[in-house]
Amino acid sequence: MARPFRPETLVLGLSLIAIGVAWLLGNAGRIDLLGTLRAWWPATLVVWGVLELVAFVLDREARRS
Amino acid sequence: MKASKLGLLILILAFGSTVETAWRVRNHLGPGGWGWFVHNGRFDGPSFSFTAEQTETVAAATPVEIENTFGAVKVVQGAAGEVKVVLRKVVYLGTEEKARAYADRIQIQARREGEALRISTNRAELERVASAEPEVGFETHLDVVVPPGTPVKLANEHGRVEVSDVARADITSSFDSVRVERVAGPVEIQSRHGDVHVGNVKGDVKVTGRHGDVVVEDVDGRVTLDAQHGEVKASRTGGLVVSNTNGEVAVETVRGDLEAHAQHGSVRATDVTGRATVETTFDGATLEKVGGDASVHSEHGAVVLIDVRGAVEARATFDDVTLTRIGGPATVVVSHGGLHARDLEKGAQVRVSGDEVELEGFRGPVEVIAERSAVRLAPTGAILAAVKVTATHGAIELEIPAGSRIDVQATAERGEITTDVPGLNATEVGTGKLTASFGGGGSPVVLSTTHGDVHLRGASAVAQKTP
Repeated sequence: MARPFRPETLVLGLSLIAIGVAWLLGNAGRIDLLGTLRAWWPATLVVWGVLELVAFVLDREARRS
Repeated sequence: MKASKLGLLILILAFGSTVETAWRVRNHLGPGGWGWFVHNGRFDGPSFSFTAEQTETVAAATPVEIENTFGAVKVVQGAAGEVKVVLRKVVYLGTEEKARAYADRIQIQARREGEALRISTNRAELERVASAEPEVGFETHLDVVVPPGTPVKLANEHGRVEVSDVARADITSSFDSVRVERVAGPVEIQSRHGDVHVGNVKGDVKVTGRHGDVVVEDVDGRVTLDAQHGEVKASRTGGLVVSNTNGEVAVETVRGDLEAHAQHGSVRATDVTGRATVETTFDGATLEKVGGDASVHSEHGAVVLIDVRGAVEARATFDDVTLTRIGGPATVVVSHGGLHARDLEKGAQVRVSGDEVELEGFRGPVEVIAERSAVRLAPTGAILAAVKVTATHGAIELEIPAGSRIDVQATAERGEITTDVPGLNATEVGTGKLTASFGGGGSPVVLSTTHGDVHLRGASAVAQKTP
Protein backbone atom coordinates (compact mmCIF):
# COMPACT_ATOMS: atom_id res chain seq x y z
CA MET A 1 0.00 0.00 0.00
CA ALA A 2 1.32 3.44 -0.98
CA ARG A 3 2.15 5.88 1.84
CA PRO A 4 -0.34 8.78 2.11
CA PHE A 5 0.76 12.15 0.74
CA ARG A 6 2.40 14.16 3.58
CA PRO A 7 2.82 17.86 2.72
CA GLU A 8 5.22 18.57 5.60
CA THR A 9 7.68 15.99 4.29
CA LEU A 10 7.55 17.66 0.90
CA VAL A 11 7.94 21.12 2.43
CA LEU A 12 10.90 20.02 4.49
CA GLY A 13 12.55 18.43 1.47
CA LEU A 14 11.93 21.38 -0.84
CA SER A 15 13.12 23.82 1.84
CA LEU A 16 16.35 21.95 2.35
CA ILE A 17 16.94 21.91 -1.42
CA ALA A 18 16.16 25.64 -1.68
CA ILE A 19 18.45 26.57 1.21
CA GLY A 20 21.22 24.38 -0.18
CA VAL A 21 20.96 25.93 -3.65
CA ALA A 22 20.84 29.47 -2.21
CA TRP A 23 23.86 28.74 -0.06
CA LEU A 24 25.76 27.37 -3.07
CA LEU A 25 24.94 30.43 -5.15
CA GLY A 26 25.86 32.68 -2.25
CA ASN A 27 29.24 31.00 -1.82
CA ALA A 28 29.77 31.27 -5.59
CA GLY A 29 29.18 35.00 -5.35
CA ARG A 30 26.11 34.92 -7.57
CA ILE A 31 23.59 36.13 -5.00
CA ASP A 32 23.45 37.90 -1.66
CA LEU A 33 22.62 34.86 0.50
CA LEU A 34 21.14 36.71 3.47
CA GLY A 35 19.17 39.09 1.27
CA THR A 36 17.79 36.19 -0.77
CA LEU A 37 16.83 34.14 2.27
CA ARG A 38 15.26 37.19 3.86
CA ALA A 39 13.22 37.91 0.74
CA TRP A 40 12.07 34.36 0.03
CA TRP A 41 11.68 32.52 3.33
CA PRO A 42 7.93 33.34 3.68
CA ALA A 43 7.42 31.47 0.39
CA THR A 44 7.91 28.29 2.43
CA LEU A 45 4.67 29.00 4.28
CA VAL A 46 2.84 29.72 1.02
CA VAL A 47 4.09 26.51 -0.64
CA TRP A 48 3.19 24.49 2.43
CA GLY A 49 -0.31 25.94 2.47
CA VAL A 50 -0.81 25.08 -1.19
CA LEU A 51 0.45 21.56 -0.61
CA GLU A 52 -1.91 21.11 2.35
CA LEU A 53 -4.84 22.09 0.12
CA VAL A 54 -3.69 19.67 -2.58
CA ALA A 55 -3.35 16.90 0.00
CA PHE A 56 -6.85 17.61 1.30
CA VAL A 57 -8.34 17.40 -2.21
CA LEU A 58 -6.41 14.23 -3.05
CA ASP A 59 -7.49 12.65 0.22
CA ARG A 60 -11.16 13.45 -0.47
CA GLU A 61 -10.95 12.05 -4.01
CA ALA A 62 -9.35 8.88 -2.67
CA ARG A 63 -12.17 8.38 -0.17
CA ARG A 64 -14.85 8.84 -2.85
CA SER A 65 -13.24 6.31 -5.12
CA MET B 1 -2.71 19.36 14.32
CA LYS B 2 -0.12 16.67 14.12
CA ALA B 3 3.04 17.07 16.13
CA SER B 4 5.10 16.85 12.92
CA LYS B 5 3.20 19.77 11.39
CA LEU B 6 3.53 21.83 14.56
CA GLY B 7 7.24 21.07 14.74
CA LEU B 8 7.76 22.06 11.12
CA LEU B 9 5.83 25.30 11.58
CA ILE B 10 7.95 26.24 14.59
CA LEU B 11 11.09 25.34 12.63
CA ILE B 12 10.13 27.56 9.68
CA LEU B 13 9.16 30.51 11.88
CA ALA B 14 12.37 30.18 13.89
CA PHE B 15 14.39 30.12 10.67
CA GLY B 16 12.56 33.18 9.38
CA SER B 17 13.11 35.07 12.63
CA THR B 18 16.81 34.23 12.54
CA VAL B 19 17.14 35.47 8.98
CA GLU B 20 15.25 38.68 9.75
CA THR B 21 17.39 39.34 12.83
CA ALA B 22 20.60 38.70 10.92
CA TRP B 23 19.42 41.06 8.19
CA ARG B 24 18.72 43.87 10.64
CA VAL B 25 21.98 43.35 12.51
CA ARG B 26 23.92 43.42 9.26
CA ASN B 27 22.24 46.58 8.09
CA HIS B 28 22.95 48.41 11.36
CA LEU B 29 26.29 47.01 12.39
CA GLY B 30 27.88 44.86 9.74
CA PRO B 31 29.16 45.67 6.28
CA GLY B 32 26.50 46.54 3.76
CA GLY B 33 26.05 45.28 0.27
CA TRP B 34 28.06 48.25 -1.06
CA GLY B 35 31.08 47.59 1.11
CA TRP B 36 30.59 50.19 3.85
CA PHE B 37 29.39 49.71 7.36
CA VAL B 38 28.82 51.71 10.48
CA HIS B 39 31.18 51.11 13.35
CA ASN B 40 30.91 53.11 16.59
CA GLY B 41 28.78 55.70 14.85
CA ARG B 42 31.20 56.12 11.92
CA PHE B 43 31.24 54.85 8.40
CA ASP B 44 34.03 52.49 7.51
CA GLY B 45 35.20 50.80 4.34
CA PRO B 46 36.63 52.03 0.97
CA SER B 47 35.90 55.73 0.42
CA PHE B 48 36.70 58.71 -1.81
CA SER B 49 36.74 62.42 -0.89
CA PHE B 50 35.50 65.36 -2.94
CA THR B 51 35.22 69.04 -2.09
CA ALA B 52 32.68 71.75 -2.84
CA GLU B 53 32.62 75.42 -1.85
CA GLN B 54 29.96 78.07 -1.53
CA THR B 55 30.10 81.68 -0.36
CA GLU B 56 27.16 83.69 0.94
CA THR B 57 27.14 87.46 1.45
CA VAL B 58 25.71 88.43 4.83
CA ALA B 59 25.16 91.53 6.94
CA ALA B 60 27.14 92.02 10.11
CA ALA B 61 26.08 89.85 13.08
CA THR B 62 23.84 87.64 10.94
CA PRO B 63 23.18 84.47 12.96
CA VAL B 64 24.43 81.31 11.30
CA GLU B 65 22.66 78.01 11.91
CA ILE B 66 24.42 74.82 10.86
CA GLU B 67 22.97 71.34 10.71
CA ASN B 68 24.87 68.20 9.88
CA THR B 69 24.48 64.47 10.47
CA PHE B 70 27.55 62.42 9.56
CA GLY B 71 30.79 64.41 9.53
CA ALA B 72 32.81 66.99 11.41
CA VAL B 73 31.84 70.63 11.57
CA LYS B 74 34.39 73.38 12.09
CA VAL B 75 33.48 77.04 12.47
CA VAL B 76 36.18 79.71 12.46
CA GLN B 77 36.32 83.46 12.05
CA GLY B 78 37.11 85.03 8.67
CA ALA B 79 36.52 88.21 6.73
CA ALA B 80 33.55 90.48 7.35
CA GLY B 81 30.50 90.36 5.12
CA GLU B 82 30.62 86.79 3.90
CA VAL B 83 30.12 83.24 5.06
CA LYS B 84 32.26 80.71 3.25
CA VAL B 85 31.32 77.03 3.37
CA VAL B 86 33.68 74.26 2.34
CA LEU B 87 32.03 70.86 2.13
CA ARG B 88 34.22 67.78 2.05
CA LYS B 89 32.19 64.84 0.83
CA VAL B 90 33.44 61.38 1.71
CA VAL B 91 31.56 58.72 -0.24
CA TYR B 92 31.82 55.06 0.69
CA LEU B 93 31.65 53.26 -2.64
CA GLY B 94 33.90 50.67 -4.23
CA THR B 95 35.19 52.76 -7.17
CA GLU B 96 36.12 56.42 -7.60
CA GLU B 97 33.87 56.72 -10.62
CA LYS B 98 30.80 55.60 -8.70
CA ALA B 99 31.82 57.70 -5.71
CA ARG B 100 32.29 60.84 -7.84
CA ALA B 101 28.92 60.32 -9.50
CA TYR B 102 27.26 60.06 -6.12
CA ALA B 103 29.26 62.95 -4.63
CA ASP B 104 27.97 65.22 -7.40
CA ARG B 105 24.50 64.71 -5.97
CA ILE B 106 25.60 65.86 -2.46
CA GLN B 107 25.17 69.62 -2.22
CA ILE B 108 25.54 72.47 0.22
CA GLN B 109 22.25 74.08 1.15
CA ALA B 110 22.42 77.69 2.36
CA ARG B 111 19.15 79.56 2.75
CA ARG B 112 17.78 82.49 4.73
CA GLU B 113 15.39 81.71 7.53
CA GLY B 114 14.26 84.93 9.14
CA GLU B 115 17.41 86.86 10.03
CA ALA B 116 19.55 83.72 10.11
CA LEU B 117 21.56 81.99 7.43
CA ARG B 118 20.90 78.26 7.64
CA ILE B 119 23.58 75.90 6.31
CA SER B 120 23.08 72.19 5.78
CA THR B 121 23.34 69.56 3.07
CA ASN B 122 20.74 67.75 1.00
CA ARG B 123 21.36 64.51 2.93
CA ALA B 124 17.70 64.12 3.90
CA GLU B 125 16.65 64.41 0.25
CA LEU B 126 19.26 61.86 -0.83
CA GLU B 127 18.24 59.46 1.91
CA ARG B 128 14.61 59.71 0.85
CA VAL B 129 15.64 58.77 -2.68
CA ALA B 130 17.92 56.07 -1.27
CA SER B 131 14.95 54.19 0.12
CA ALA B 132 14.18 53.15 -3.47
CA GLU B 133 17.77 52.26 -4.39
CA PRO B 134 20.80 50.66 -2.72
CA GLU B 135 21.93 52.66 0.30
CA VAL B 136 25.18 54.63 0.01
CA GLY B 137 27.11 55.75 3.05
CA PHE B 138 28.62 59.23 2.94
CA GLU B 139 30.02 61.83 5.30
CA THR B 140 29.69 65.57 4.96
CA HIS B 141 32.44 67.53 6.69
CA LEU B 142 31.70 71.24 6.89
CA ASP B 143 34.30 73.99 7.33
CA VAL B 144 32.43 77.24 7.83
CA VAL B 145 34.18 80.62 7.92
CA VAL B 146 31.99 83.28 9.50
CA PRO B 147 32.43 87.05 9.89
CA PRO B 148 33.60 88.46 13.24
CA GLY B 149 30.81 88.75 15.81
CA THR B 150 28.64 85.95 14.40
CA PRO B 151 26.25 84.06 16.67
CA VAL B 152 26.36 80.37 15.79
CA LYS B 153 23.77 77.66 16.37
CA LEU B 154 24.94 74.20 15.45
CA ALA B 155 23.44 70.71 15.54
CA ASN B 156 25.51 67.70 14.57
CA GLU B 157 25.30 63.94 14.92
CA HIS B 158 28.19 61.55 14.42
CA GLY B 159 30.98 64.06 14.00
CA ARG B 160 33.41 66.29 15.83
CA VAL B 161 32.42 69.91 16.41
CA GLU B 162 34.91 72.78 16.69
CA VAL B 163 33.79 76.37 17.07
CA SER B 164 36.05 79.33 17.73
CA ASP B 165 35.97 83.13 17.66
CA VAL B 166 32.23 83.65 17.48
CA ALA B 167 29.80 85.93 19.30
CA ARG B 168 27.83 83.16 20.92
CA ALA B 169 27.48 79.42 20.49
CA ASP B 170 24.53 77.09 20.89
CA ILE B 171 25.62 73.54 20.12
CA THR B 172 23.87 70.18 20.13
CA SER B 173 26.06 67.19 19.41
CA SER B 174 25.98 63.41 19.61
CA PHE B 175 28.56 60.68 19.27
CA ASP B 176 31.70 62.81 19.08
CA SER B 177 33.61 65.56 20.83
CA VAL B 178 32.82 69.27 21.04
CA ARG B 179 35.45 71.99 21.34
CA VAL B 180 34.49 75.64 21.76
CA GLU B 181 37.03 78.43 22.20
CA ARG B 182 37.18 82.20 22.30
CA VAL B 183 33.51 83.13 22.45
CA ALA B 184 32.50 86.71 23.18
CA GLY B 185 29.07 85.82 24.59
CA PRO B 186 27.23 82.92 26.14
CA VAL B 187 27.80 79.27 25.27
CA GLU B 188 25.28 76.47 25.58
CA ILE B 189 26.21 72.89 24.72
CA GLN B 190 24.27 69.65 24.83
CA SER B 191 26.42 66.65 24.15
CA ARG B 192 25.84 62.91 24.23
CA HIS B 193 28.56 60.32 23.87
CA GLY B 194 31.48 62.69 23.49
CA ASP B 195 33.95 64.87 25.36
CA VAL B 196 33.33 68.59 25.70
CA HIS B 197 36.02 71.25 25.96
CA VAL B 198 35.17 74.91 26.46
CA GLY B 199 37.80 77.62 26.82
CA ASN B 200 38.05 81.41 26.87
CA VAL B 201 34.43 82.47 27.07
CA LYS B 202 33.34 85.98 28.05
CA GLY B 203 29.71 85.09 28.77
CA ASP B 204 27.92 82.39 30.71
CA VAL B 205 28.46 78.73 29.91
CA LYS B 206 25.93 75.95 30.21
CA VAL B 207 26.94 72.39 29.36
CA THR B 208 24.83 69.24 29.49
CA GLY B 209 27.06 66.24 28.86
CA ARG B 210 26.42 62.51 28.86
CA HIS B 211 28.97 59.75 28.47
CA GLY B 212 32.01 61.95 28.10
CA ASP B 213 34.39 64.21 29.98
CA VAL B 214 33.62 67.91 30.34
CA VAL B 215 36.45 70.44 30.61
CA VAL B 216 35.72 74.14 31.04
CA GLU B 217 38.47 76.73 31.36
CA ASP B 218 38.76 80.51 31.56
CA VAL B 219 35.15 81.62 31.66
CA ASP B 220 34.25 85.13 32.77
CA GLY B 221 30.57 84.40 33.33
CA ARG B 222 28.65 81.88 35.36
CA VAL B 223 29.09 78.23 34.53
CA THR B 224 26.47 75.48 34.83
CA LEU B 225 27.61 71.94 34.15
CA ASP B 226 25.34 68.90 34.18
CA ALA B 227 27.26 65.71 33.43
CA GLN B 228 26.84 61.98 33.70
CA HIS B 229 29.28 59.16 33.16
CA GLY B 230 32.38 61.28 32.72
CA GLU B 231 34.85 63.44 34.57
CA VAL B 232 34.28 67.15 34.99
CA LYS B 233 37.08 69.69 35.24
CA ALA B 234 36.46 73.41 35.63
CA SER B 235 39.25 75.97 35.95
CA ARG B 236 39.21 79.73 36.27
CA THR B 237 35.49 80.31 35.99
CA GLY B 238 32.87 82.62 37.39
CA GLY B 239 30.30 81.21 39.76
CA LEU B 240 29.99 77.50 39.16
CA VAL B 241 27.13 75.05 39.53
CA VAL B 242 28.14 71.50 38.68
CA SER B 243 26.42 68.17 38.98
CA ASN B 244 27.89 64.85 37.97
CA THR B 245 26.88 61.22 38.28
CA ASN B 246 29.40 58.42 38.02
CA GLY B 247 32.42 60.63 37.59
CA GLU B 248 34.82 62.89 39.43
CA VAL B 249 34.54 66.65 39.73
CA ALA B 250 37.73 68.73 39.85
CA VAL B 251 37.44 72.48 40.26
CA GLU B 252 40.18 75.09 40.37
CA THR B 253 39.78 78.83 40.87
CA VAL B 254 36.16 79.90 40.98
CA ARG B 255 35.50 83.62 41.10
CA GLY B 256 32.21 83.36 42.96
CA ASP B 257 30.16 80.65 44.58
CA LEU B 258 30.57 76.96 43.96
CA GLU B 259 27.71 74.49 44.09
CA ALA B 260 28.63 70.88 43.36
CA HIS B 261 26.50 67.75 43.45
CA ALA B 262 28.16 64.42 42.73
CA GLN B 263 26.98 60.85 42.92
CA HIS B 264 29.42 57.97 42.86
CA GLY B 265 32.27 60.38 42.34
CA SER B 266 34.59 62.60 44.32
CA VAL B 267 34.65 66.39 44.37
CA ARG B 268 37.91 68.34 44.64
CA ALA B 269 37.86 72.11 44.62
CA THR B 270 40.60 74.64 45.27
CA ASP B 271 40.55 78.41 45.38
CA VAL B 272 36.89 79.37 45.59
CA THR B 273 36.41 83.05 46.35
CA GLY B 274 32.76 82.77 47.43
CA ARG B 275 30.65 80.23 49.21
CA ALA B 276 31.10 76.53 48.50
CA THR B 277 28.26 74.02 48.75
CA VAL B 278 29.14 70.42 47.98
CA GLU B 279 27.22 67.16 48.16
CA THR B 280 28.70 63.76 47.28
CA THR B 281 27.75 60.14 47.65
CA PHE B 282 29.97 57.09 47.71
CA ASP B 283 33.13 59.18 47.44
CA GLY B 284 34.81 62.03 49.23
CA ALA B 285 34.90 65.81 48.97
CA THR B 286 37.96 68.01 49.35
CA LEU B 287 37.82 71.79 49.46
CA GLU B 288 40.90 73.98 49.75
CA LYS B 289 41.13 77.77 49.93
CA VAL B 290 37.53 78.85 50.22
CA GLY B 291 36.92 82.58 50.66
CA GLY B 292 33.39 82.29 52.05
CA ASP B 293 31.43 79.72 53.95
CA ALA B 294 31.64 76.05 53.10
CA SER B 295 28.92 73.45 53.39
CA VAL B 296 29.88 69.89 52.55
CA HIS B 297 27.80 66.75 52.84
CA SER B 298 29.22 63.36 51.94
CA GLU B 299 27.43 60.03 52.17
CA HIS B 300 29.87 57.14 52.40
CA GLY B 301 32.82 59.43 51.82
CA ALA B 302 35.37 61.58 53.62
CA VAL B 303 35.24 65.35 53.90
CA VAL B 304 38.44 67.40 53.88
CA LEU B 305 38.35 71.18 54.28
CA ILE B 306 41.52 73.23 54.25
CA ASP B 307 41.86 77.01 54.59
CA VAL B 308 38.24 78.07 54.76
CA ARG B 309 37.74 81.70 55.76
CA GLY B 310 34.07 81.48 56.64
CA ALA B 311 31.85 79.15 58.57
CA VAL B 312 31.96 75.45 57.90
CA GLU B 313 29.19 72.91 57.93
CA ALA B 314 30.46 69.39 57.33
CA ARG B 315 28.43 66.20 57.37
CA ALA B 316 29.80 62.74 56.61
CA THR B 317 28.78 59.15 57.00
CA PHE B 318 31.02 56.09 57.12
CA ASP B 319 34.18 58.16 56.84
CA ASP B 320 36.07 60.96 58.58
CA VAL B 321 35.91 64.74 58.48
CA THR B 322 39.22 66.60 58.45
CA LEU B 323 39.32 70.35 59.00
CA THR B 324 42.44 72.52 58.77
CA ARG B 325 42.62 76.28 59.33
CA ILE B 326 38.95 77.20 59.51
CA GLY B 327 38.22 80.92 59.96
CA GLY B 328 34.56 80.73 60.99
CA PRO B 329 32.55 78.56 63.32
CA ALA B 330 32.47 74.89 62.39
CA THR B 331 29.47 72.60 62.59
CA VAL B 332 30.31 68.95 62.10
CA VAL B 333 28.11 65.85 62.11
CA VAL B 334 29.73 62.48 61.48
CA SER B 335 28.12 59.05 61.61
CA HIS B 336 30.42 56.06 61.70
CA GLY B 337 33.51 58.20 61.38
CA GLY B 338 35.73 60.61 63.23
CA LEU B 339 36.78 64.25 63.22
CA HIS B 340 40.32 65.55 62.96
CA ALA B 341 40.55 69.32 63.15
CA ARG B 342 43.43 71.77 63.39
CA ASP B 343 43.31 75.50 63.91
CA LEU B 344 39.63 76.29 64.32
CA GLU B 345 39.42 80.03 64.85
CA LYS B 346 35.82 80.38 66.00
CA GLY B 347 35.01 77.17 67.79
CA ALA B 348 32.97 74.19 66.78
CA GLN B 349 29.75 72.29 67.31
CA VAL B 350 30.44 68.62 66.84
CA ARG B 351 28.31 65.49 66.89
CA VAL B 352 30.30 62.35 66.12
CA SER B 353 29.65 58.64 66.46
CA GLY B 354 32.02 55.83 65.77
CA ASP B 355 35.52 57.24 65.82
CA GLU B 356 37.84 59.70 67.51
CA VAL B 357 37.28 63.45 67.84
CA GLU B 358 40.50 65.40 67.82
CA LEU B 359 40.59 69.18 67.95
CA GLU B 360 44.22 70.27 67.73
CA GLY B 361 44.27 74.01 68.10
CA PHE B 362 40.99 75.86 68.52
CA ARG B 363 39.60 79.12 69.78
CA GLY B 364 36.07 80.03 70.72
CA PRO B 365 33.23 77.97 72.11
CA VAL B 366 33.26 74.23 71.57
CA GLU B 367 30.48 71.73 72.06
CA VAL B 368 31.09 68.06 71.37
CA ILE B 369 28.66 65.18 71.57
CA ALA B 370 30.44 61.90 70.92
CA GLU B 371 29.20 58.32 70.91
CA ARG B 372 31.62 55.44 70.96
CA SER B 373 34.34 58.03 70.47
CA ALA B 374 37.28 59.35 72.40
CA VAL B 375 37.58 63.14 72.50
CA ARG B 376 40.86 65.02 72.63
CA LEU B 377 40.86 68.80 72.80
CA ALA B 378 43.96 71.01 72.65
CA PRO B 379 43.20 74.71 72.34
CA THR B 380 45.44 77.14 70.48
CA GLY B 381 45.77 79.42 73.50
CA ALA B 382 44.06 80.18 76.76
CA ILE B 383 40.51 78.92 77.06
CA LEU B 384 38.27 81.97 77.23
CA ALA B 385 34.99 80.52 75.91
CA ALA B 386 32.67 77.73 76.95
CA VAL B 387 33.70 74.13 76.31
CA LYS B 388 31.17 71.35 76.64
CA VAL B 389 31.89 67.72 75.90
CA THR B 390 29.46 64.83 76.31
CA ALA B 391 30.81 61.40 75.50
CA THR B 392 29.60 57.83 75.81
CA HIS B 393 31.95 54.89 75.64
CA GLY B 394 34.95 57.14 75.19
CA ALA B 395 37.52 59.12 77.13
CA ILE B 396 37.82 62.90 77.23
CA GLU B 397 41.16 64.66 77.30
CA LEU B 398 41.41 68.43 77.59
CA GLU B 399 44.55 70.52 77.55
CA ILE B 400 44.33 73.64 79.72
CA PRO B 401 46.96 76.22 78.75
CA ALA B 402 48.25 78.90 81.07
CA GLY B 403 46.12 82.05 81.05
CA SER B 404 42.81 80.17 80.80
CA ARG B 405 39.95 81.45 82.98
CA ILE B 406 37.52 78.61 83.43
CA ASP B 407 35.17 76.84 85.82
CA VAL B 408 35.45 73.09 85.35
CA GLN B 409 32.72 70.53 85.99
CA ALA B 410 33.77 67.01 85.07
CA THR B 411 31.95 63.71 85.55
CA ALA B 412 33.08 60.23 84.55
CA GLU B 413 30.55 57.46 85.11
CA ARG B 414 32.30 54.12 85.23
CA GLY B 415 35.56 55.93 84.72
CA GLU B 416 38.01 58.10 86.54
CA ILE B 417 39.13 61.69 86.41
CA THR B 418 42.79 62.60 86.40
CA THR B 419 44.40 66.02 86.23
CA ASP B 420 47.94 67.27 85.83
CA VAL B 421 47.22 70.99 85.59
CA PRO B 422 49.34 73.19 87.82
CA GLY B 423 47.18 75.86 89.44
CA LEU B 424 43.90 74.00 89.07
CA ASN B 425 41.82 74.79 92.13
CA ALA B 426 39.62 71.78 92.92
CA THR B 427 36.62 72.81 95.03
CA GLU B 428 34.80 69.48 94.97
CA VAL B 429 36.31 66.10 94.35
CA GLY B 430 34.28 62.90 94.45
CA THR B 431 34.01 59.53 92.81
CA GLY B 432 33.99 60.28 89.13
CA LYS B 433 33.30 63.94 89.79
CA LEU B 434 35.40 67.07 89.84
CA THR B 435 34.52 70.71 90.30
CA ALA B 436 37.41 73.10 89.89
CA SER B 437 38.43 76.49 88.66
CA PHE B 438 41.47 77.77 86.88
CA GLY B 439 42.77 81.30 86.51
CA GLY B 440 40.18 82.59 88.92
CA GLY B 441 37.27 81.06 87.02
CA GLY B 442 35.28 82.28 84.07
CA SER B 443 33.98 80.33 81.11
CA PRO B 444 32.23 77.06 81.89
CA VAL B 445 34.02 73.85 80.92
CA VAL B 446 31.65 70.90 81.27
CA LEU B 447 33.08 67.46 80.57
CA SER B 448 30.84 64.42 80.95
CA THR B 449 31.45 60.84 79.93
CA THR B 450 30.06 57.41 80.63
CA HIS B 451 32.23 54.35 80.25
CA GLY B 452 35.33 56.49 79.90
CA ASP B 453 37.90 58.58 81.72
CA VAL B 454 38.43 62.33 81.89
CA HIS B 455 41.93 63.71 81.84
CA LEU B 456 42.85 67.37 82.27
CA ARG B 457 46.33 68.19 81.14
CA GLY B 458 48.41 71.27 81.77
CA ALA B 459 51.85 72.56 80.99
CA SER B 460 53.52 70.83 83.92
CA ALA B 461 52.51 67.46 85.25
CA VAL B 462 51.33 67.27 88.82
CA ALA B 463 49.10 64.24 88.82
CA GLN B 464 46.08 64.27 91.02
CA LYS B 465 43.73 61.37 90.89
CA THR B 466 40.20 61.31 92.17
CA PRO B 467 39.35 58.52 94.57
